[in-house]
Amino acid sequence: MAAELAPATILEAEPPRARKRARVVAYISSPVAVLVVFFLGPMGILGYMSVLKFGIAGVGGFTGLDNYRSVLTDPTFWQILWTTFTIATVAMVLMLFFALPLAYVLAFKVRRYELQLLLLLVLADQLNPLIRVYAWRTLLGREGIINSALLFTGLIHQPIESLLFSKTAVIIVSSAEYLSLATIPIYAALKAIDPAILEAADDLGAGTFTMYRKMLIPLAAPGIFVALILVYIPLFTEFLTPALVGGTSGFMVGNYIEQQILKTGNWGVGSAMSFLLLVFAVIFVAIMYKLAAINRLQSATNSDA
Amino acid sequence: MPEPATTSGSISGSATAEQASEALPEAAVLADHVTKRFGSSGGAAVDDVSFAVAKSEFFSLLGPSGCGKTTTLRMIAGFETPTSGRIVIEGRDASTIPVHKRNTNLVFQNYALFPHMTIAQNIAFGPERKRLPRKEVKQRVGEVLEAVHLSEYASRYPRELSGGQQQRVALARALSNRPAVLLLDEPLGALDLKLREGMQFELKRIQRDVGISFVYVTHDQGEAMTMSDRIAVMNLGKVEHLGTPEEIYLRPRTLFTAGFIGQANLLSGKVESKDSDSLIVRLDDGSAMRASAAAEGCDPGAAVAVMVRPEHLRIATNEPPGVGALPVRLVEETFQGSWSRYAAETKTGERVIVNVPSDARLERSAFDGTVWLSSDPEQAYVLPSGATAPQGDAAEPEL
Repeated sequence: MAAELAPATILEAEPPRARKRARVVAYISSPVAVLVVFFLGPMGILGYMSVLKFGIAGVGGFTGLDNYRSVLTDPTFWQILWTTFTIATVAMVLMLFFALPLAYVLAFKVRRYELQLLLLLVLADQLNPLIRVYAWRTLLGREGIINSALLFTGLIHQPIESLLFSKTAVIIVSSAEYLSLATIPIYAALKAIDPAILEAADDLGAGTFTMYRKMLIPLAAPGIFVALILVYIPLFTEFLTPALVGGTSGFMVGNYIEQQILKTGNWGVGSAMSFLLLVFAVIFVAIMYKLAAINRLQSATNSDA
Repeated sequence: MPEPATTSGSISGSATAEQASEALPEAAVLADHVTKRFGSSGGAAVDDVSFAVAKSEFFSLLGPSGCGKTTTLRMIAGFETPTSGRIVIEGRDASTIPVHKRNTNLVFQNYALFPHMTIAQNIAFGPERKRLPRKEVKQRVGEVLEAVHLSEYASRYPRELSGGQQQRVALARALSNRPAVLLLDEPLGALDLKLREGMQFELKRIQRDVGISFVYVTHDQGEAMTMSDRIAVMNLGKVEHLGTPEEIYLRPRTLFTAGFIGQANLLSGKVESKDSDSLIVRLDDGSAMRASAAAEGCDPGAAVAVMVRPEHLRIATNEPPGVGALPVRLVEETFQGSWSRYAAETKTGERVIVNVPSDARLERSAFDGTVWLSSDPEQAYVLPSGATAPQGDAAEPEL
C-alpha cells in the first residue's frame, strides 16, 4: 500500500516550484480579474470622485479632503446616521428574534419536510424585493389589511397612521426582507449541535427560556455571528425599502447618498459618504469577526464531545 | 407464535406485574404494562413491560441492541411517551410530567457534556435550574466532584478531559441534581476494557454511597452481573426474565436468557420421566441426562433443552456407569492459561463447550475416539424449548 503510494507522491512533488506557482496564478487569475474590473475599479472611481469638487458649474477640480470634512461636520448626516443605526440594529434584533426559533424548528422539529421548507425559505428570498416591499405596503397602509383587520375586530377605532411611511415600517419590512439570509447560517450552526446535549439540558431542568439563553444561543453563536455580518451590512446600507415605506422619518444614509448624487448632483459629497459608510461596515465586521473567532474556539469541542 | 412461548411469556408477564403492584408504595420507579410503538403501523419497540425498581436498588435492563431497553429508559426519563401503560416515579404517575420537571436524571451514552461550559458550570447547571442558593450550588458541585475524584478539574473544559474523566463528569452532573432515580444509558460503552472494569466498581461504590436507585441499561451481561441487584433481561421488546444475577444465571426462565447470560450448552431433547426430585431427558442423539431442576412447562413428553454451563461438565475417556453420559467427539482445544476450553460435537452435530482446569487437561489421544461428558444433576437445568431460541451470536463463547 505504502509502496504504491510513494511513486505517486513523488510525481506530485516533481513539478518545479515556479510551475506550481504558475498553476496557482492561473487558477485565481479569473476571479481576481472579475474583482478588479467590477469591484475595485468602481471603488477607485468612487474614491477619485470623493476628492473632487462638484458645483453648479460642473467638476471643479481636486479639493483634497474637503468633501469628507463637509460630511463629517454636517449635522444632518450624523442625525441620519443615527436613524440608520437604530433602524438597522432594531431590525437586526427583531430578525434574530424570529430567525432563531425558525432555525431551531427547521433543525430539530420538522424532520420530514426539512429540506422542502429550507428550499421554500431560499425561494422566498428570490422574490423581487420591489414586489415584496409593495406587498408590505398593502399590508401596512392606512386602509391596508392590518389596519382593516384591527378596526374590524374593534381593537382600534382609528387606523394606525404610523404603520406605513415611518421608522417602524422600515424596521418591519427590512427585517422580513433578510429573514432567510439570517436563518440559514443559524440553522447550519444548530444542525451541528449534538441533540443529546439539548436533551441533557432538558433532563437537568432547563425550560424553554434557559434552553435558548444557556444552550442554543451560545452553541449557535458562530452561526449567529455569520448571520449578523451577512445581514447587518445590507441593512445599514438599505435604500430601496426606506424609499418606498420610510416616509421622512425612515430616511436612511443610503437615501441621503442617493439624494446627494442623483438629486443634488453632488457626486463628491455622495462618494465621500459612501466611503465613510464602507469604513463603518469594515469596523463592524472586524468587531464581529473578533467575537466570532473567540466563540469558534469554545464551540470547537462540539465535534469531539 | 407457537403455544409454549406465549404461555411462558404470559406467566412471566403476570408474575412481574404482580411484583410491580405489590412494590408500588415504596417503589422508586414503576413500569406498569408499558408499551411503545413508533409510527402508526410499526411493531412494538417495548411490548407490555412491567417492573418495579426499589429504593436504592441497582437495577439493570439487559439485552441485545434493539431489544427496547433504551426506549424503556427514555420513557422513564420522559423523552418518549408510552403508547399505553404508565410510568410511576416515587408514587406519582409521571405520564404527564415533562422531562425537565421529572425527578430523574440521565447519564448519556456519549456523555453529552456542555462543550461551552467548564466542568464546574456543567455540574452546577442542574442545581441552578432548581434556583438553589449560590452557596449550596457551590457546595454540591464540590461534593460530587469529590465523589468522582475530579476536584482539581473544576475549571477545565470537557474537551480537555479524557474519555474516562468525561464519563465521570457526566455522572457527577446527573448526581448533583439529587434525583430520585439515576438513569444510565450504556455509560461505559465508549470506554476501553480496563477503564470499564474500574468504572464498574466505582459506579457500584457511588451508588451505595449516595443510596439512590440506579436504572442501568447495558448489552454487556458481565457488566450487569457485576453491579446489579436485579436484572431484567429484555428481548424483542419484552422482559424475558427478571431476577437477581444468580437466578438469571443459574435458573434462567427462557432459552434466550440461558444463551444470553454467560455461556451455556443447550442440548435439545424430550422429557422422558419426571419424579419428585429429578427428571430424565432423552437427548436427540439417544443418550439420557438427569437434571434435578426445571423451569415451568417441562412435563413428560415436552420438547426441552438441557442447560449445562461449560465449567460444570466433566470429560471422561471411558464411559462412566449410570445415567447422564453424553458420547461426543472432541474437535479442538483452546488453552486459556488457568483453564482449557474444549469444543466437542455430539452424534447429531450439536456443539458443546467444556471448560477444564489446566491441571485436568486431556492427553492428545483423547481426540482420536469418543469421550463422555457428564454433569451432576444439580448442575443441569431443564428449560422448555420454545420460539425464543437463543440468537446464534449470543450463545457463542465470549472471550
